[in-house]
Amino acid sequence: MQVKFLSLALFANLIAATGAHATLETPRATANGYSKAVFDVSHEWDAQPEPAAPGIMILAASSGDSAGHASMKQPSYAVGDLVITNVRAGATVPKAPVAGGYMVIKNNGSASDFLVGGQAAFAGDVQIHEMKMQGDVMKMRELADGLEIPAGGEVMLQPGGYHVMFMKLTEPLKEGENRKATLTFRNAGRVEVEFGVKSRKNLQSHGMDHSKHGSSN
Amino acid sequence: MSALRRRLGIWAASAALILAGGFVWLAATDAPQQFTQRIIQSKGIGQPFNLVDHNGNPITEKAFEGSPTAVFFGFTHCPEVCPTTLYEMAAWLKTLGPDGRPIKAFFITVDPERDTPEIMKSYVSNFTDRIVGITGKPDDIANLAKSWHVYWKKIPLENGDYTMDHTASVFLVDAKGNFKSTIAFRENTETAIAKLRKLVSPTS
Repeated sequence: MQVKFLSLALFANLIAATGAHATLETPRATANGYSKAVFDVSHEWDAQPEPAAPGIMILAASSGDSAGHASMKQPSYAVGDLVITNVRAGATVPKAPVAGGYMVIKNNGSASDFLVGGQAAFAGDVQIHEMKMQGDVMKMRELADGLEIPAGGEVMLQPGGYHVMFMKLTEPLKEGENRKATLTFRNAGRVEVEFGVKSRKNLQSHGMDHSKHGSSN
Repeated sequence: MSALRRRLGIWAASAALILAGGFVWLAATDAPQQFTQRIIQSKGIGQPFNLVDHNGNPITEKAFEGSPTAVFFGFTHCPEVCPTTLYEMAAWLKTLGPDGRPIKAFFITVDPERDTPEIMKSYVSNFTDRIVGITGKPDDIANLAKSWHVYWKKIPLENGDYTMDHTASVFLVDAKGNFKSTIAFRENTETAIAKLRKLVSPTS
């Protein structure tokens, strides 16, 4: 009797062990193979929220532009200790319900500030979001407490990362347009800026800005 | 007495082992990786479905048969990944020209509550006429997405609205219905086009 139970226990143990092996090992290998290609390209996106030296890149790109020096000046906005540059938004197709807004915010002050929201005539709602790629999954989160701009630091809002989320668009954003909107910071308060609407190709800050700023600013 | 106790002890131990073994086994088969593996090893990706294309016509798994197919899951309230991917898919197909003509391309919404056939059509047709939007009943979309091992999740926003997390890769399926590979979000254009070429003519 005892022997029988003992062997049953051993048998169950064996099943558990082999079962666990067979089912755990192979999928792990497959999952790696499956997500590898995906992961290879997403690393540059993962890395983006850490700005290397965006200010320098912008200057270099601007001065490399051959089209007249005066008109290339980046519109820049100051509010409190903050300086906001490269304010741009992605062009949308007609009927698109949402659009992303991007910029570089530098904090010259000695205390953190937070971008908490905004307002725009062309959007029913404006929120601050963070997008992240986790493997092959795109995740988007509202930053309910705002996006921190650390003292002395600089934060880039750009495709693949932080962005101003224009929701409930009342009309499409067309390439080449400049759209006014208000940004709200917890400490510095409100500031009106103009989003230069750009095609997807020209949205990346390092892809730079081939649109003309014309006479605005 | 001690013999009985020992016997009871063995009973308990074996029951516990069987139970533990069962849990390990269940946990292992339930793992998402297992699902991916099953998809990759299976002859056809996904299961039969009954959905609606952006013209309001019924569409089934038959639409994915007989032609190499590129499928992307997304939603129209998507600020970046979806418009970028649709824009890129349109550009790949344009670059391929006649070579890419056999490819069928689909944009399947993971947000069927908001993405009606009309909305899908007006959205997708702004990018290209080569991509067909697909929507349907939420349960049917959920089943399809599951069978393709697509991750999606509704994320509530402060204003009562919501957004969706979702798998952002383009799935490539050959003319026989075999899952071949994926094109990742923002994958290098040349690599993407090479994958599509291979999908159309596997031997070249």
